[in-house]
Amino acid sequence: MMSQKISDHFSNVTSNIFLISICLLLCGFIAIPLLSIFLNVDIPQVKKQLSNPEVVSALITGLVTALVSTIISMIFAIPTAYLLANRKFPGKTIIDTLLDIPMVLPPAVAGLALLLAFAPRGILGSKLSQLGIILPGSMLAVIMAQTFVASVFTLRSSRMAFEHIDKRLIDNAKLFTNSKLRILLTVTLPLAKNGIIYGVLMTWARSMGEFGATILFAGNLPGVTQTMPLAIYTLMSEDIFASNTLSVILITVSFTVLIIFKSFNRGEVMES
Amino acid sequence: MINRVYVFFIIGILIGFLMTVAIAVSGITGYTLKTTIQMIQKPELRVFIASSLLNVVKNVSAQFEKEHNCTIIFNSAGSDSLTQQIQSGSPADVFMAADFKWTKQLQTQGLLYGDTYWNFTTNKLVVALPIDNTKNLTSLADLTHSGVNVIVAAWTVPAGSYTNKTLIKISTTWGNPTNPSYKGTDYESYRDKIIANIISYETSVQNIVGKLKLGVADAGFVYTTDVAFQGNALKYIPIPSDVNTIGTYGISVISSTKQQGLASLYTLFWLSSEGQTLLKQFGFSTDISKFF
Repeated sequence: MMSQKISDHFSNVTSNIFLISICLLLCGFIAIPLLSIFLNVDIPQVKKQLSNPEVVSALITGLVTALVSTIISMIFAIPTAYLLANRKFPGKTIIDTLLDIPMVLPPAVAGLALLLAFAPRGILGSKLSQLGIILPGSMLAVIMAQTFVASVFTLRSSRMAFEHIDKRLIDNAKLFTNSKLRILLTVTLPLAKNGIIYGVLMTWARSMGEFGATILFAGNLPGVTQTMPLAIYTLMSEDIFASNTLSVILITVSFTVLIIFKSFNRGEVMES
Repeated sequence: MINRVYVFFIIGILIGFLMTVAIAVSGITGYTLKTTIQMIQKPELRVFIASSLLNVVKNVSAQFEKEHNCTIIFNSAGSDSLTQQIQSGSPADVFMAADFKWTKQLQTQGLLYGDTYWNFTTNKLVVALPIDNTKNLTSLADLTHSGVNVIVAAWTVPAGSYTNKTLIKISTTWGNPTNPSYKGTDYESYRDKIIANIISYETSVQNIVGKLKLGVADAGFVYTTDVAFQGNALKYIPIPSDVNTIGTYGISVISSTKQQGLASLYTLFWLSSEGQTLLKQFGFSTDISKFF
């Protein structure tokens, strides 16, 4: 018995050492490049860049477009997620797969696809340009690119949340009220809240970082379509340290927003 | 029961370790095998090349590879990012830049073999138009009309910096009433008027060509060679030489090369009459005598 306990203890220790060292290797691989960005920056540079009008406009463009894309994603993705989680209908698998495609599509392909559809010579774009609507080079194109690439995060996460709701709770609620809307607002949505919020945050973060689809479809125009990642890429050829400074600003802003949201839902969002 | 779980766990870990070792070993042998094969087989020549040169240069690489029994690998991007890659130590043998200022920069940093580079060809700008030219643009003045969408290369890449110079030249000569070559009010503050019409600053000339073909914009500033290579897919408005900006291309061998002989031969090919004729066929100018 004694020897078995010792061997148990031993294998416990070895497995822990093994798992921890694997985990540390992964952490190091992620943390070292991130740290290098912060180690290469000096504070006067950040201050200087924060008063550079091009940087400020890129930051504002990014924040505004990401916010709008996130709201649009919520309006369309949450009801769709509810439908896919609760109803069975023919063609559901096809719709399901179609909506998942942006997740695996390289952003450059997404940008090209948007161009071929909505550019003035594109399939829908030719009709739009007859109406005088030219999308490339407009802020709307940035929002379209971001929504195309990022709405899937809200969809997937909300759908999972709706699916995990214990159906008995809904059945119980039906005993008290006949109003489906009331059940939705007082039972279903509060129970799915964490998953939805997590998805929305991921959509926002992905929109802030969108690069490939934006530069291809919307183009790179300071003050209109130039978001932070585009400014970082454009500045790289001129001054790599300036673009490093912009990266620090982008990471800091994104992290701060994420942390504020998470601390509002302390513990809950993290769990889902 | 618990004991059995641990046995399985340990076996799992062992299998994991064995697999890692196996992958590592096969990776190492695969690598040495690959390098040995390469040593027996053919030397590799890594050519870092400005995207505007890629079409013409690709055209002869098969011939060079055959004659000198080697493999050429092209790394094409904007000259500015290629310069950065070389500065940060990416393995490169030959560097062909769209603006000799980048080769010069590497020279001052001591990164060029023999401390030399050659200006081996030139290129100039045109205004490229989509084939249907819906806005009926026929002159440089037409580009200033409201509603005309223009795309240019970002000022930081060579094509963009040349575009910027040309816009300044037009404003200060054709658009200056006190200048003898004054051409009318259309050209006054020409640069500002064009900038008001710009819908995107692209990171490479190739993107401009692609977007013009898709009708994303009505006009774009590109190299003559880009339009020449597109054949009938694009129209163009020439830019007269008094306001055009001549881009001078630089070629050099990188000091860290292990293929000095091959890299020098490759460089010499582009300076030879054969190489120069080829460049001319693709719309480059070959009047390089003044650079020597």
